[in-house]
Amino acid sequence: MLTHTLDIYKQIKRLQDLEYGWLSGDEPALDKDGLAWLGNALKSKIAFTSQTFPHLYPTETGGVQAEWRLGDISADLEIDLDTRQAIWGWSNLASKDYGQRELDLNSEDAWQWLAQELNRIAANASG
Amino acid sequence: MAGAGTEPDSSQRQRLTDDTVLFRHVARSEHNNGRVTSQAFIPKRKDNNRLSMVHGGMISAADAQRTHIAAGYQSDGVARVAVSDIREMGLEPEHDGDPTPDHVTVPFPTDASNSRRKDIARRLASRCEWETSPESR
Repeated sequence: MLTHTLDIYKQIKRLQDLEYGWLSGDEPALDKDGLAWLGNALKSKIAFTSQTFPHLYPTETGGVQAEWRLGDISADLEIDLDTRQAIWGWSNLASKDYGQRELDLNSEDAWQWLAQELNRIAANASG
Repeated sequence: MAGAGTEPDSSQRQRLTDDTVLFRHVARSEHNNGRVTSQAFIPKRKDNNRLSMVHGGMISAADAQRTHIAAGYQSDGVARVAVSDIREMGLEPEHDGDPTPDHVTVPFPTDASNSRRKDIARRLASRCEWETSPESR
């Protein structure tokens, strides 16, 4: 079966393989249960299109940052795998505008908002 | 950035013009499918709020990588941005020549909010281009 180059589970697997000190010596390995939760949540709660698949990266504190570039918008979601709290941030590269908001990913409302926001930005980017 | 070197006196420091190219080492975990994370353009906790870069007019990307890796650091690829891109963010790069003669530091504003710091990083990541891509190594 063909999978997208940004397939969520493939990206999660890459993050699971990081060992302690993966960048400069003292970064924690990412929590495997937290990564499994994140992978399942991303797959089940957001209907990604080829345009909206995120790039996933580890953060130096042991979290995950999902990133998107959609038209003039560069956006990211910094996720704490332990608390499941996240910060959504964005910059409009065609202006000086930027912003952020906190999201509680324990809440269905937060996922719904995120899915709608990605779709909205993607629609503007392709429109 | 690290390696043996002595800090140049002020006469040896290179003036950074708008079109001066600066290099940033990108670790394996900082790129994904060819895209560099914005986190690569935020000082790490150990970096004292200063982004380490390399003066692209003083050393090749290949030599900068060799020096960086020999000093025990990661460099899977080298990204470049112009000084003008950094100045557009209201930041002023400084050629400090320490710890290597080609070392440039970019102080981040100490009073900047987390939101502003991430905005700067997103913009720099969107402007950067590979000087040496991971695939070409």
